[in-house]
Amino acid sequence: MPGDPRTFDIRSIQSTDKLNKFKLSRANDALRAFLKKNAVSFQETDIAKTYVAVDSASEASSVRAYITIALSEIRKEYAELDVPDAERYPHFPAVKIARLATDVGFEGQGMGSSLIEFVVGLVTKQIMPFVGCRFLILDANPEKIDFYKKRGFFLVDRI
Amino acid sequence: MAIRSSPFTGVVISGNDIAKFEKQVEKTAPSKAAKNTFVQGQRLAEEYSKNGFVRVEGKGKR
Repeated sequence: MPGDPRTFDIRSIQSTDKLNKFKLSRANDALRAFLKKNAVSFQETDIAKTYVAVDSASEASSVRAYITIALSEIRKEYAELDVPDAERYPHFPAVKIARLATDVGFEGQGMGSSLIEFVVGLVTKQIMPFVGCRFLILDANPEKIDFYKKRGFFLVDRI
Repeated sequence: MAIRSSPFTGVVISGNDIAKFEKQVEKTAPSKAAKNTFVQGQRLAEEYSKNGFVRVEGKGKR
């Protein structure tokens, strides 16, 4: 109903989802291209999993925001002479948020935050108890660092 | 550069960032924001495992 708060559903991406109308600023072309060209095939081949936010009142399943996660790792790389007795396991298993984007027409509605929370829940409840996974990591655009800090991530350093 | 990364690869930390990273992991307590995100995430994951989707109320109006 008009005036009601908008509700949206978070679920796995489907091949029938409408992706063509997903709009981002030109600076985020890679995020739009990934959704349109790679997200479904990555999903089907288990390379990465994408979860989408769609308007729950619409049957059209137009994607308003999405998040993509994949297995990853953090590796500590020592210079040979730095640490003669370097630890045996400098690799830490992780899940990486590879993509996160919201359609420009739907920003400010909390979809990005909800997708982050959803993935944190998925990783800590469905992955960590069953598979070794020490961290949830991501590469943040500089202007988005505060967004992630407010959701509990900490910054290691800037690239 | 002490960190190397790209969207679908791992993260490589070297140089001074190794100590910085280890200090954060070992000595930094979870922030209030992290705890809030964790609690909310648990609820969403529970709902997802029951229903196969999660319904969330947005901040905006239609």
